[in-house]
Parts: sequence; structure tokens; C-alpha cells
Amino acid sequence: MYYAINQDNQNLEAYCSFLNEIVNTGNIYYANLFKEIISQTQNLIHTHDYYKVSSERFGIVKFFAHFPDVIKEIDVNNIKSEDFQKLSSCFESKFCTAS
Amino acid sequence: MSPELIRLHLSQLKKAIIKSETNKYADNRKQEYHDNILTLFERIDSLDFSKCSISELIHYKYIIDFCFISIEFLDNSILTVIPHEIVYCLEKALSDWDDTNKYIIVISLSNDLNGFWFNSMLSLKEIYYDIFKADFSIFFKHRLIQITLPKYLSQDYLANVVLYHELGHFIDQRYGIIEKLSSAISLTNIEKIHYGEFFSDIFASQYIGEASNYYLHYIAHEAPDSESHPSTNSRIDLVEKFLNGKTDPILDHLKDATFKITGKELKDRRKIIKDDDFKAFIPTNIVSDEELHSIFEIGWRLWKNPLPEYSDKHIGEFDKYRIINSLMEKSISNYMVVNKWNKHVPH
Repeated sequence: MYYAINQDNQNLEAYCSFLNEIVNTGNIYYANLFKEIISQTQNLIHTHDYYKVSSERFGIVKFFAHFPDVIKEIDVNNIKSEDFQKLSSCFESKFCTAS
Repeated sequence: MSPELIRLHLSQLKKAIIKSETNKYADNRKQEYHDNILTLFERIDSLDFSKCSISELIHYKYIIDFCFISIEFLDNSILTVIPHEIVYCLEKALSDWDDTNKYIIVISLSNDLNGFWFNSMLSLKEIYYDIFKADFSIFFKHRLIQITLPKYLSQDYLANVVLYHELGHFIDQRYGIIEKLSSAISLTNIEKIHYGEFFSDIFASQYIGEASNYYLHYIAHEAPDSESHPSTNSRIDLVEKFLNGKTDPILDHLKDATFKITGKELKDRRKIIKDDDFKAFIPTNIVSDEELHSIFEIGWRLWKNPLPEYSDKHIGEFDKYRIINSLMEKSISNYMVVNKWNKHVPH
């Protein structure tokens, strides 16, 4: 999981790897982690209260919050593989623009 | 990056692990952490790297680095090496801010005379622990707070006031205080770094008052603002304002964010003991954690000011230095023993 190495740099490529990892391996632990991150991001988008975000996931939650349209549409209780793909392609297009 | 180089790295780690097998720790949590590192090493050692992609090899390199750093800090935190008294004081301050029993303070000794550092890798890079759990089914109950201090000052209780500042960096990052505050009030990158330093200064001064200012003023003598630190004068000034109950926009932001994020207050927590015992060359009787931290302030006060009780006896500066350090160490050590005793004696 390349994501581990680059998390601090808010590296888009790393976040894409994180999502691909979940889709490709189907690892339940990562999937639950993703659910937790989405839930916190939706909360942040709704409240704008940075202080309520878990400090352990703050970097990724703050980054995900840059994509409110996609994040708001995700049903945390029923996450589908299209959600990963949509978010992933969103990151990829931003990554391409950034580079 | 090639499988052969990963194997070389693993062999180097194995050598360090073999050497650490006889480590004896006063704290069982360290042994548990050590055992997990051994299990992790065995799992990685059993992998076939010839089938790995480059990014997978990089991934494993980082995990091997993680194991190496863990072993380095554990090796320096065994019974015979660790400066127990200062670590005990830091643990007491830590417990005011985190009661999860999740974090263990570990030490590494540096050859750099100004080498006081905190590194968050083993305590706060949660993603590593996610990987260990998700990919290797290894669950670490504890995290290591890495604090580095100069080898030649490891028993110097005057210089070690700096470690309260380093603990402040851990608390800041543990709760993401400055990170969140920065997002909330849109700080620039440099402001954010400066706020982090201010926070750690204020954090330290809650326990040891101006004691860390004295040493800071010496080692960072009137340094101007830089990318990594605010000016020494502004740091000293902010601590004075905090201790004197004055207001300041930066201070107000720090206090407000800290309380909202942690539910705990940045406040003057000191209860300063009398210095009569030290003047009479005997360790002082500490009765509370607040008094425990004040030992550093007393030590500094006696060091900085003329002491007729010492000069009348023709005690020179070097002996004064040794006596004050020794009295500080003994006072802390006595408090540790009494506390441990009280925990085990039926009331």
C-alpha cells in the first residue's frame, strides 16, 4: 500500500493507490477505514468544523473534503465499487492537472 | 530498488534484532511492542520479494525502516540506559493529556549537544499500524513516543527542561491542534510552523514555568524569525504573557483551539515547592505531581542566583552544578519510590 509512504504529502497519486488497493484486494479493514473517512468527510463538509475531525485521519479527511460533490453522494452504509471509481477518477484528473 | 537490496536491509535488521533479544524493560508494554516487531520481522522475512513490483519493494523498505527505528529506541530504553527520572516526569505530564495508556515514551541518545527532538513516526503515523493490522494481522496495542536527547546531557536536569517542549510537540500532533487551528483560521505555512513552536513553549511552561526559557535563551540566543522557528524574543515574550495571565491574539487562539479539540485547558499547572531543602543540601519531599514538575524551576532558580549557603562553604560552580543535579534526581527518585510503594500498600 504505497499510500503509507506519501500520506503526509497529501499526494494524489498515493490516495489513488489507496482506493485501488481497496477495490483490488477487497481488504475489509481498508474498506472499513474508507467508510470511516467518508463519514468524517461528510461531517466536515456539512459543519465546516475542523475541530471535530479525528486527528488520526485529519490529513486525508481534509483532502477528501475538496471533492464535496462526489463525497456527498456516497451512502456510507452502502458503499459501492462505483463510489471508489468515481472518487479515484476525480483524484486522477486533479493529479493530471496538478502535474 | 531490487529484491537483493531488500534482503540486505532485512539482514541488517536481523542483526539488530538478535542483539536486542536480551533487552530487559522495566515496562511490560515495551516487551509486548518488541514481541510484535519480532513477529512483523518474521512475516516480512518469509516473503518472496522476487515477485514484488517496485512500489511493493518500496513499501516493504519503509516497513523495515519502521522496525529498525523501533529497535533503536527500544535498545536505548532498557533498564540500564534510560534516564528513568526525567522520563517519569514526562509520563506524568503526558497523563494529564492522554489517559489511554496507549503511548510509551522511549528515548534515543544523540551525539549532538543540542539534539533534543521529538519524532512522530512510531507514535502518530497511524497508517503503519493500519497496514500491520490489515496486511499482517498484527495488532499493536501501544505506540512509541520517540524523544531524542543529547547523550552527554541525559542526566542533566537543568538542560532536560527542553523535553517538556518536545512533549508539547507530541501533544500538539496527537490531537492535530495546530493542524486544525491552521485550517480554521487559514494560517500560512510559516505561521503554522511558528504556532507549533509557540504551542510547545506554552505547553512546557504550564509545568516548568520559565525554566525552559532560560535554556532556550542560551542555545537560541536572540535568534530572529526563521522558517522553522519564531524569534527567541517572541517565544520568551509569549510564555511570560501566559504565565502572567495576559492576553495575546496568538495565545488566545492556542488556548481556544486546545480546549475545543482536547477538552483540556492550557493553564498554569504549577505548585512550586520551597527551595529550603536544596539550600540545606538535602533532597526535597515532593507530595504531588504539580510539585514534581516544579523541581526543574527550583533547580534553575538556584543555579541562576547567588547562593550564600553554597558560597559560604566555598562550593565552586562545578560542584554546585553537580549538587543541584543530584538533588533534583534524588528528589524525583524518592517521589517515584513513594508513589510506587503507595500503589501497592493496602490502605
